[in-house]
Order: sequence, then structure tokens, then C-alpha cells
Amino acid sequence: MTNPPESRTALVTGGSRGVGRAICRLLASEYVDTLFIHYHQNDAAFQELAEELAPTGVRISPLRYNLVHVEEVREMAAELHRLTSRLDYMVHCAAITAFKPLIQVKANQWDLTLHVSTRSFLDIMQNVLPLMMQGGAVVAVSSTGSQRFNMNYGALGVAKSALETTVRYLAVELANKGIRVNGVIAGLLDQEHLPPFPEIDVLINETLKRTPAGRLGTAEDVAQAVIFLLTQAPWVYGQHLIVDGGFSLT
Amino acid sequence: MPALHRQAVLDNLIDIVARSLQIPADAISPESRFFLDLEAESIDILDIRFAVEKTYGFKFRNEEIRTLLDEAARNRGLTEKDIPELFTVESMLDFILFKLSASNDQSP
Repeated sequence: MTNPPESRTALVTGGSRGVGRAICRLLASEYVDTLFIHYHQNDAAFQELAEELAPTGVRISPLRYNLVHVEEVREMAAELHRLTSRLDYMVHCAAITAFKPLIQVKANQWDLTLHVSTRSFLDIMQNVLPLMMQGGAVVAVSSTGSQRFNMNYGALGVAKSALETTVRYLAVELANKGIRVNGVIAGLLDQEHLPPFPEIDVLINETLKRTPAGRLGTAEDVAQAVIFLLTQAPWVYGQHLIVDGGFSLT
Repeated sequence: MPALHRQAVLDNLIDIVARSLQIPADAISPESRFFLDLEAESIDILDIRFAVEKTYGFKFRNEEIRTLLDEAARNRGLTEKDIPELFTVESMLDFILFKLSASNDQSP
């Protein structure tokens, strides 16, 4: 399929809920004409978002694939190639994990966390690269647990750390194609956007005590940083913008 | 559903569960409760579900699983809070057989 000359497109993985959903909302508000929303399990959440975004007139396409399987990533990319001739933006939010002490994480839980949260980012980039335009931009969403200890966050912390390194390498390797790759490192978000997490009240109280902004983040806070890196940062390559209300400074 | 086919799917499922949870296959029976007997966590259930989907080439939908669990609970006079009690290897086997028979119904 051929897009009109000025038609802008974006792919958001893990786009039906949480931070991914907030990014889709902002992208649809003024930055793209076509939005490919990847999700895997929650049809109802996707449907709700698609209905919410319908008045924007943005073309919404669901991509329901399981990123744990490389074959499904390839199928997703093949569907994208059928649906569009260009991809301007790619945002990777999809993540999965077991919230528990790292010492108790089992091999299958480690693999699932790393495959979905990190390896799939590279798989997707390898498969959609032919669609990405000169001037295109990519953002991977990470979290502060990649850089410092967060209770019960070890597996995802490792995955996000590897994700950030992947961002730095791709930023250099894809720079000559005119594609910028960056990341956002999100701090603790309000409970509406958090998955079930052991001892969450302790974590929230401790975080709030040390957050200069005096509140937890929202999905919209993270989404705004993502949009900035996608659309307004032409000389920023391979960097990570920390969005945590100043927590990491204290 | 022919008994032989059911047994073959069960054997396959037990292999998948054993690999995922890293426990011997002979420690798993149809009556094993995932959360209570096998000490599975919710991410393990996803892992097992993904392996099953890949093996059999279909996808569960969350709503389907919900409906099947609710039905199983109703049949046994149980409620939502009893789901850990209900969620056995055999109940997952029934999900798989249900999906396989649904795909067969749709084939030409």
C-alpha cells in the first residue's frame, strides 16, 4: 500500500494500555495520520482505545502478535509491509515480567522477560527497518530500575538495562540512514499505570519522600518525553531522557 | 473427543508444563493444581500458554479463558475466589481441546 506523500505513520508496541496508550493518544492528537497499535492479549483494551481515537480521524490498525516468538515478529512486520510503505516513528513499550526478588527468578521467567521486553525490540527493528524513513525516529521506554535497585524489579531491571544498551548501539548503527534511536527512562508511575506489584505501598512512600516534584509520574508525563524525542530532538542520538520528577537526583 | 487424542494432548501439555516449571513430568498429573500444587506463578501460566499456542497454532483470548473458568466454577458450585482451586492441568487440557475442536469446526 502507498501512503499519501505527507502521511505520517507510527508503530507503538504494547500500545493498548498504560504508557503505550498515552503515547498513542498523543501521537494521534497531531503527529501521525496512521497508527499501528501492537498489543497481544487484551482485545477489549485495544477496542476501547480505538473507539476513543476514532474522532481524531487517524487510521488505526491493530497488530495482535506475541513478541516472545520471533516468527510472530516477522509476521507482524510482514503485515506492516502490506499496510504501509513508510514508518516514521517506532515506540517500544511492550514489557512483561515477574515482580519478585532476582535471586528467586526462574529460567523461564527470565527468558520471557528478556525476550518480550528487550529482544523483541531488536527483532522488530531488524524487520521494519526497510520501512523506516530518512528522518524517522525510534524511542524505547525503559525505567529507573535499569540503573539502580528497585525492590522486586530485578528481572525487568536487567531487561531494561539491556534495552538501553541496544538503543545506544542502534543509534550509532542507524545514524547514517537518518534514523534517530533514543530512550526514555521512566520513574515510578501512579498506581493507575502500575501492574500488580508486591509491597507497592512501601515503594510509593519511599519514592515520594525522595521525589522533588512531590508526586509520582503519570503515563502522560512519559508520553510527552517520548513525543519530544520523536519529533523535536533532531540532534539527539542514543540518549536517555530520565522522567522521574527528579527522584534520581536525590 | 477420542481418548487417544486426549491422552496425546495431555502428554504434550505435561511436557510443556514440566519444561516451563522445571519439574519432572512424573510429578505432574491431570489433577495437579497449577498454583496450589505446582507452585506456578502468573507469569508461568503465560509462559505455558504461549508454548501451547505455538505448539497448536491457535491463540487463546482472555475473554474465552474467563468464560471457560466461570463455567467450570459454576458447574462445581464455586466462585471466582476459588479459581486457584479450579485451575488444574486437566482444566488447561480442556481449554486446548475446546480450541482444537473449534478450529476443526471452522475448517472446510
